[in-house]
Amino acid sequence: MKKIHLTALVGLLYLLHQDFWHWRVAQPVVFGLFPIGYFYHLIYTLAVSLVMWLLVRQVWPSSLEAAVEEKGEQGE
Amino acid sequence: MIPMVIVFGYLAVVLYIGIFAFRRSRTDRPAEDFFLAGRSLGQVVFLLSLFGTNMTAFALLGSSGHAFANGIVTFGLMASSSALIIPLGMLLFGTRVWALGRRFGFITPVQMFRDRWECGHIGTVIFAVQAVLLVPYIIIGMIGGGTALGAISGGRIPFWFGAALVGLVVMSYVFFGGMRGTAWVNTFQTTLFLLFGAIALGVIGYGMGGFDQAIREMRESPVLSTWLTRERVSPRYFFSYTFIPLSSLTFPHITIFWLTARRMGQFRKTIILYPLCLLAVWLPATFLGLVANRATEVPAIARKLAAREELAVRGPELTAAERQDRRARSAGDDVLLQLLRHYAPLWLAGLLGAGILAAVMASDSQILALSTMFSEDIFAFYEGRERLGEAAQVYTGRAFVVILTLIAYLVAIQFPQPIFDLAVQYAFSGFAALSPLLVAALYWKGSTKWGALASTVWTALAVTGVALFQFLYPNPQVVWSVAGVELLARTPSGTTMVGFMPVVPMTIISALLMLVVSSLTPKPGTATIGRYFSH
Repeated sequence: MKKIHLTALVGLLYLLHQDFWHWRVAQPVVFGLFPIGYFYHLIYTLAVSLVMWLLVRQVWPSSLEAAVEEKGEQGE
Repeated sequence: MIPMVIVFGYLAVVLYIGIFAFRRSRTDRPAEDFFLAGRSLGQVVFLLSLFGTNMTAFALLGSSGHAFANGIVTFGLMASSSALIIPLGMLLFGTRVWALGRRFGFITPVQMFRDRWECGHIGTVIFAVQAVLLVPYIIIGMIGGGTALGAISGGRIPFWFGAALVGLVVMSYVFFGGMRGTAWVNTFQTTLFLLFGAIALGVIGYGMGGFDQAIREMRESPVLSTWLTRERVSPRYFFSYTFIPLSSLTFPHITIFWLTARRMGQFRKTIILYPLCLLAVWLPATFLGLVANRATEVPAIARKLAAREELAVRGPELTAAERQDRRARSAGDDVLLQLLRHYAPLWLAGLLGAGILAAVMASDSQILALSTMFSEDIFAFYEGRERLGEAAQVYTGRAFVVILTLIAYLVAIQFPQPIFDLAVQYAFSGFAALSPLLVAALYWKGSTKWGALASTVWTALAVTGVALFQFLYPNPQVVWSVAGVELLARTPSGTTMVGFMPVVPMTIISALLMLVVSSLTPKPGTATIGRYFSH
């Protein structure tokens, strides 16, 4: 995935946090325990973890690691 | 008695871990070893300790109290927003700070800012603002320790003794173990309160005969049904809260902690697992706070609900002092402790009490961070290290730990907690408003020391301004409105500006100041910029 797609995905995730459409409703109550506005944010947190996994795989700043290793080799 | 024995056993284990860490310390590079654990922390310790450093007393006690008073909104307000911002910040900023620390030997963020913007005294200004904003945390941690020990012992341990005991234990393992001791203790504590959530949920759920009944009763109640929606806060207020986690990227104890990882790869799993750790702690804490609204068979909670009802029904007839009294009596910060005391067997209440104490003892990282900053940014910078040597710098750091703990203790037993609750509230906004410094230093070649100074001075003035405003104008009242639009208002939880929390304009103006002032002032030399942006 290109950086621009990933940036858009993070932007979308930020927007999805502002779920005003659930503001004044409790129904449905998922599993009889979690009102929808609560359940949404529990699932949202799991989705964030998934996106973080994707980001770490796709845009890991390996050049920074390389620079540190390069400095280490020069030091040795 | 049994819970107290378990809690004292827990304090002894924590102390032992700190002293064991002291025996593992290396003497070839004493300052780096004491302040950064020799940049050698492994994956598990790095993840759990970093998470534990971010989880203060508020994560367990405050969040359940907030959910008790406001309902389901608490999770989205504070947990899911942090789940996005904090790991993203670690990916974008944490990895860069780690790499720069490795390449140039930084131990504190101010060292990096001084080098990046070729400045000296402006770095001292940044140090001063960060230090002032950090002190209330240390005090609140000590108050939390004294309060928790008092509650666990059923009032047998007086506040002054509980706070002194917790302060002494924290001071000892920070003094001896430095960063290594603090990180190991945090790892142990985080494991405890990650387990705490699941166990507490099971035990209290069993005791209450299942949670579905409580939720059903809340749905059927005309008053409590609003606790199952988010209508008790406005969407603007909810949006404002997404700015607050920016503070955890600029807290010195977090930035310093980023430097302790042995390899950059240790950020990978930390970034991915951080939201799941948040879920493991905040889901039980907020859910238990929510269902506590139906735990009417717990006498202490029934009294809180009665005080809240009186406030709602007879509020306008009560005097200001009576309203304040009812608010204090309905506050829910101890609902989790009350639920445990009522539903958990004694030995388990002791174990879970130790878990709560683990969360409130998170002030260790702040004490160590302030000591690190003082000895690096002031003592070493103003030539103390060159004159007296690196060993003297570590002694200075340790002496600072003792002095700081003593001052925090003396302040904690003199002044009431609400003052520091407010101060912490300002501190979150203050550190969030300092976040443009980190962004600009790491990502914008055109940023300058004058831009950094403007953002820092603005932050100090804005925090002071909000504090003064809240002191001068009692809540609730609209202070300034135009054509029916509330521009500035005092609310029970603080201040709003056009419905937003002050952190929003504070952070935006800070970023604009960085942008405008940097554009108008001379840039650092090309050699410096080259060192930072060559990779």
